[in-house]
Amino acid sequence: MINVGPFIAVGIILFGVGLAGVLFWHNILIMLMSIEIMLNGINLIFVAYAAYWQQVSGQIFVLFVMLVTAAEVAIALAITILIFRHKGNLDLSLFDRLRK
Amino acid sequence: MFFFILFSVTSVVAAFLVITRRAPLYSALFLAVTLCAQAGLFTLLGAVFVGVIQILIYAGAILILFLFVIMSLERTESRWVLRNPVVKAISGITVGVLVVQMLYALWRSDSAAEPLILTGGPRGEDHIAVLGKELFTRYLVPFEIGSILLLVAVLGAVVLAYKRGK
Repeated sequence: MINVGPFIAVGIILFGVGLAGVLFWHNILIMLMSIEIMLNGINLIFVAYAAYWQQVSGQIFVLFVMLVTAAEVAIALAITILIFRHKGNLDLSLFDRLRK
Repeated sequence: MFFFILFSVTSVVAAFLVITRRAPLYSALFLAVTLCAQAGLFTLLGAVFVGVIQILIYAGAILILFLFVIMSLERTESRWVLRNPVVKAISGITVGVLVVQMLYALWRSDSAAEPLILTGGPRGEDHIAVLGKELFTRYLVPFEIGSILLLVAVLGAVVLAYKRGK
């Protein structure tokens, strides 16, 4: 039986780092990558608890999180391209209205 | 214990570097490092399949998507990297170590041995078999909905990014 506490700690730290990245930056690409880091921290916690309870459901949840993330990234990057075409910039603080 | 410290320190430091770089290109490359280190952490926890999928889907597909968008939108000066002899030396050493390591693993392994079944997963059974059984029985409906979600997302991305009136 492995001690899963340190793994969960690493997951929490990664979640915090990602959250800080989302809050500190206005660049949409770095914000998206920070969201990826947050999701990965959560995945690590899922897998750690799956190992703790000797259950496989946690790992299946991780697979579903990855699936939703792939869909999210595809849509988000398409929107990023649209924003860049619209404003010529990736700074989200300039993007304050949806119409022209 | 050594591997836990190695992977966790690598993933946290690389994650920190992701959010402190000014150029998104470097952020994306450090994101690859942190994702691979996390795949190592998954493997340490017995989730071998999730680790492999992490490298394939995250560090492979999603990261390539990020890199494509970054390189088509940002003008990052990356030419010096190719001309820098230090970078060339590090790349060469990395490739050499990788090839030697794989050949060493092949040489040390007994190819006539019985196929290795990964045990030590949940309940001590074959880890990947348990995962597949659960995924295709208990979680079948979410799995199918997920595939439809991916299809819709791909179509949506194409429709959104398509240039109209050309």
